[in-house]
Amino acid sequence: MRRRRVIGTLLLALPAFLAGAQQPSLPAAPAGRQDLVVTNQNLGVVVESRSVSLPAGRFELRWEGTPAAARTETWTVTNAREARIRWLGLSGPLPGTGAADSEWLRGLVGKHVRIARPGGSTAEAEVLAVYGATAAPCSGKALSSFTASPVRACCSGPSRARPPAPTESSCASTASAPETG
Amino acid sequence: MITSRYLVGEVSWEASYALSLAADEKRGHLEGWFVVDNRSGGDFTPSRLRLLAGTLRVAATPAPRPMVDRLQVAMEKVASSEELSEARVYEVASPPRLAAGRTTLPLASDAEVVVEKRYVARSTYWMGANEEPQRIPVGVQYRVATRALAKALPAGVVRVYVEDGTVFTGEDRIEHTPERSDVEIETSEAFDLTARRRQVSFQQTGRTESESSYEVEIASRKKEPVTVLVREQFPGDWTVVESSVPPKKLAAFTVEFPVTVPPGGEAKLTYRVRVRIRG
Repeated sequence: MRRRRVIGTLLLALPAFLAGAQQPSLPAAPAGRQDLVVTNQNLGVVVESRSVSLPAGRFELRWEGTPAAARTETWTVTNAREARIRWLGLSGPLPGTGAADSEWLRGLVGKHVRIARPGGSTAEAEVLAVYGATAAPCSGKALSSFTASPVRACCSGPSRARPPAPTESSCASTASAPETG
Repeated sequence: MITSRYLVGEVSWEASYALSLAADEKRGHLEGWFVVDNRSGGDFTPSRLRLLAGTLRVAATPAPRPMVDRLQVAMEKVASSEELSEARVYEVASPPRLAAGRTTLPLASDAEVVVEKRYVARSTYWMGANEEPQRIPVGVQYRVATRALAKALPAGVVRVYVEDGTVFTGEDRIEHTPERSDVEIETSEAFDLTARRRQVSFQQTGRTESESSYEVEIASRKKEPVTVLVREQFPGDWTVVESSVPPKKLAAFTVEFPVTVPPGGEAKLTYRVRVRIRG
C-alpha cells in the first residue's frame, strides 16, 4: 500500500503587469525533472523542476505526487525570481496526514475503528498496538487480531462507552483484512 | 518552469561490502554496493541521484525503520564521488527508479585488494589485585588495503567470505574511510587459539601508584606458527617496566605485544607494568 499525495496548494502571483484575468485557477504541475540527494541519516533533499502554464494574476497551483514523508515545512520555490512569480504561501497536509504506511497505522493506536471483513461482516474495535510482522501480544477482554497489510494490528472488542464513530480512512485501511484469530 | 525544493524523511542509504578471500587469505576481492532504503511513501525517478556520506547535524533524527526484504539490483556502472563541504557525495550514473523498499546500486566493482590477517587478543587492566585467570578472546582481524579502489569508502558493513566466496565467516562495520586508507575489520573469534591472562603479582608502591605482573598464555592448535597481537589498555600514567616481548605503544592508553606461537604449541608473555592514577 503505497501512498502519494498532493504536497499542498501553492499560492502564487505573477507580477502585476502580467496580470490579466483575476480568476483564481487550480492547475496541477506535472511531474518534471527531479534531483535527489539522499543522506545516510534518513533524510533526502528533493529538487524538482516542473513545467506548467501559469495563468496571469493570483492563482493556486497543486504540487502533486510527492512522497508522504515530505516535510512540508521545508518546501520552497527556489527560482521564483527567474520564473517571475511571487510565492505567497503553501498550504499542506498536517504532519502525519498521508504519512508512510507504518506511521499512518501507528496513528490508529488508541482509536476506535470499524473493521470490514471479506464477505461483508463488520466489527468495531479499539486499536491497541500495531506491530511490524508479528502478532501483537494482547491482554484484556474479548481480544481479536486482524491483518492490515503490511502490518498486523491487534484490537480489543468494542467498549461499552462508545467512542466517536470511526473515520472513513481508518476503515479503508482494514477493509480487506482477513481475520487471523 | 517552477523549481521547488523540500526535505523528505524516511529515505536513507548505507554501504554494503563483500570481501571474498583467496585461499591464502593474503588477497581478496572487494565489492561494494549502495543500498538505498526508500520508506518515504512515494517513488522517486531522479534525473540525478547523489548519495551523501557524512555526519550531518539534524534537529531530530527519526528512529530507524526495519527494511523490507525486496532487493533490486540495478545498473552496472560504478558511482563516482567528490568532496562537498564536510561530506562526501557519490554521484550515481544513470539512476534507476527508487521504488518503495531497497534498491541496490554498485559502489565498487570487484577490486583485488591486499589483505593482512592478524590475530588480536585484547584485555583491559584491572586496577588492584585480581588473581583469577581471565580468558581473553582472540579475534580474527583483517587489514584491507583499499588503495586499489582509489576512492573513499562510505561507512557500512563488510561481509567476509572464504572458500571461493561460498562460506560466510563474519562481518564488521567500517566507518567512513578516505581514499588510500586501510580498513580493519574483525569478523570472528579464532577457533584454534586460546589465551588466558593472569595477574601474578601486585604491589602498592604509593598512594596512587602500583605495580602488577601478568602472564598471558596462548595455546595454538594450528599447523603453522602464528603471531598473536596482545593488546593491553592501562589507565593514567603507565610504564611497562619489563616484558618478555618488546612492547609497542599504539596509543595513549594502549600497548601491544606481538607473541609468536609455535604450531600446536604454547607461548607465554610476561610483563610488569607500573600504573600511576592521578589523584
